[in-house]
Amino acid sequence: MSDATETNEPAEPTGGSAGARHVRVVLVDDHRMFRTGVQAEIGRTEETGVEVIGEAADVDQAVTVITATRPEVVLLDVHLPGGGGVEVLRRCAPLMSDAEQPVRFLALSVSDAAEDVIGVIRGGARGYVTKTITGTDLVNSIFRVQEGDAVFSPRLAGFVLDAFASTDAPPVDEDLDRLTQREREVLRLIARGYAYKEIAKQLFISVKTVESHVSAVLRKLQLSNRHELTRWATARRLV
Amino acid sequence: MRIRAQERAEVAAHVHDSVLHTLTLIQRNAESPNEVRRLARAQERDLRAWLYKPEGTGKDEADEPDTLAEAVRRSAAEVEDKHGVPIEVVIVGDCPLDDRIGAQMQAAREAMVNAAKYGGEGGAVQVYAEVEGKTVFVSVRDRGPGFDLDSIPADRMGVRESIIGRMERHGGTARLRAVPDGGTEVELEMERAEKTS
Repeated sequence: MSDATETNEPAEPTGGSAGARHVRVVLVDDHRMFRTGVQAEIGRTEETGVEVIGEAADVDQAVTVITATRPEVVLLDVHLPGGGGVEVLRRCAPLMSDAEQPVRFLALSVSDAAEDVIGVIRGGARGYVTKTITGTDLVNSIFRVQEGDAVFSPRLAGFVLDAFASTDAPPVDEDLDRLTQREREVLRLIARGYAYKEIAKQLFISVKTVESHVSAVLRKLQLSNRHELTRWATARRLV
Repeated sequence: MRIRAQERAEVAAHVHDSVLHTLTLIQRNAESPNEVRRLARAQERDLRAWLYKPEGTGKDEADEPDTLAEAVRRSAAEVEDKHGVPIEVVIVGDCPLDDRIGAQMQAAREAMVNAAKYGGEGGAVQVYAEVEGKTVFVSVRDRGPGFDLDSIPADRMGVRESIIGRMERHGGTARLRAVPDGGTEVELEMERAEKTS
């Protein structure tokens, strides 16, 4: 079974030889050195399939560049002059929900503070990764987001488990306020450092199914009104 | 205004003592990538702890940890420093330490040392700790070459004694396994002592 699912898996392209895949990306980060580094690491289009079509260093610039270039994916720094990544998300909301050509956001940050992470996710970002991520993993995450899937770092998975675990109050909305057993298992493996492909093997499900569980969790994270989510994120400034 | 000035002074003092000091050391050790990496990582950790520490829990290095989360972070930091391999820590929930959990923490530390020593070449070591009801679960995962428990070389007998033996003596379980795509994972599970619930 595992052999069959592995070879039939179209959703897990292996780094390097990009073949047909291609994505247009805008980099938003106020550190020029960091933008240069990311560009050097992932921006060799013929190898990675990633084409960096614009850069911005603050909120106003970001909104202008994103509106003008309509990238498929924006790599968005959480801490940004002019209101932070959350403000960019707020002002780009119409572009995110565009049915024809949606702009999707992947948050990238050095910060591990819970309120930052939860803030950008609830602002509409499709994922969150830390700046220590390797180039290959970042490229794969960008393509995942381009396809509309969600990307969770181990730490984000840990936050979510924590936020949904403290269930003293009964849920207001059963569908949004609870994680299913399967979603919990998937998050736990992400928190333990497993890649989607490894999670699929471990749970005997396909990578597509892993992706749909993660997307479902992302949706709950964005829409749930669990007061734990907001209260928890601000009350605990955990590393 | 007074408070502002005090804060500023505190920030300046911290930056001076730690960050500038580390930058100087990095320049001096520019020829040794491992040392540079270790210095940068230790400084990063220190700065994060300082920036994001929950208010009122400013613990000194010398204080013994009293909770699971503190103990796991402490061990990870020490192993990271000693072996120069980054250790990513994710913790869900927390609980006070008791004898059993203390033993589990020692086993976890041993697993981190092993992961850093034998699996650190493959990249960061991932540590996950979770408290669910009375059960404390810890996993330590590396992306090294992996190994077979039946053919552990003599110098790795530590695994059997200090990880598996220690867990079992305290009524817990330890499981070592090869991860599908490479690396080794150690899983440690322990029930908390009765009195706390």
